[in-house]
Amino acid sequence: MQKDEYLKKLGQALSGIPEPERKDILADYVEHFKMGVLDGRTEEEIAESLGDPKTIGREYTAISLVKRAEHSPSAGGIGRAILATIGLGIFNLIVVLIPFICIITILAVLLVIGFSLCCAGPILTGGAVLEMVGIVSGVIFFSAPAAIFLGIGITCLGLLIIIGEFWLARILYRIGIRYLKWNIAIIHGSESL
Amino acid sequence: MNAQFKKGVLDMCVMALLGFRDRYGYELVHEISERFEISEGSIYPLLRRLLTEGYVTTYLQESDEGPARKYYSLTKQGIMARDELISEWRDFSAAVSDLIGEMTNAEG
Repeated sequence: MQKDEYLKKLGQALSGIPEPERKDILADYVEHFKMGVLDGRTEEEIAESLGDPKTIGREYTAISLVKRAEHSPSAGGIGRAILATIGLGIFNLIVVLIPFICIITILAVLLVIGFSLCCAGPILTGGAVLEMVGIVSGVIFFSAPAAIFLGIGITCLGLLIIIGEFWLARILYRIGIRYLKWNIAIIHGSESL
Repeated sequence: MNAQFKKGVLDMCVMALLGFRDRYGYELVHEISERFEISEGSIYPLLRRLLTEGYVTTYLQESDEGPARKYYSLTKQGIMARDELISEWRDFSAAVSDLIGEMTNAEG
């Protein structure tokens, strides 16, 4: 492969990266080719020893997306970073995708539990109040005052779970970013060597 | 050399080279590939990672021959990271050498 073709392919593989960063990356390779030619090597030899531009492009894309997900946290951002890291190799389908699916499942289940308790609590309290004032009867099968407090307790528990979930999600987000970085450095680094 | 051995130590090698003096990309590739075989293309993404972590900074400098070169320079943060990696590596490699030494002595 000649220099121009190599750079074109690399440029295409870097399409997910913001323009200034993309230019900066390509400049490194332009410089590398120039230095190599000065060293008496042919463009083909240099391209050969650099390795597949698509693989290199995927690695840069993952690095860039993880960096963006770290600096401006968002669900979409971390999602794209995860997908890009998974794209680095078949192995990552297991070591990246599965842990993240587990984490998302746990967070979703906790959210459903928290939300359900927040709904159930006020209904129980409301039912008990209506029973006490005599609007309805037979709704609450045990002491109505106890049911009022039980309802409040359930609501508080639900709120605690939801608040706790936000803390947990923030901690897991940070750990997730570190794990992706480590993965890109170690797991993928070995494949391209 | 076994590719597994190179896992993770390449970051440290690059930072060790940069700790001595600022270098440009091609020079780093050359320095390392003289000692052990690497895929040349893996050095630049590695440098990009070090850059995003704030371990290195870059500056352009004209040269008498050839293109302007992008030099990489180790930051304070990079020096700390390098020292930590090197001290971990020393402990680890000493432990491995001891183990291998003891076992080959026991065999002989």
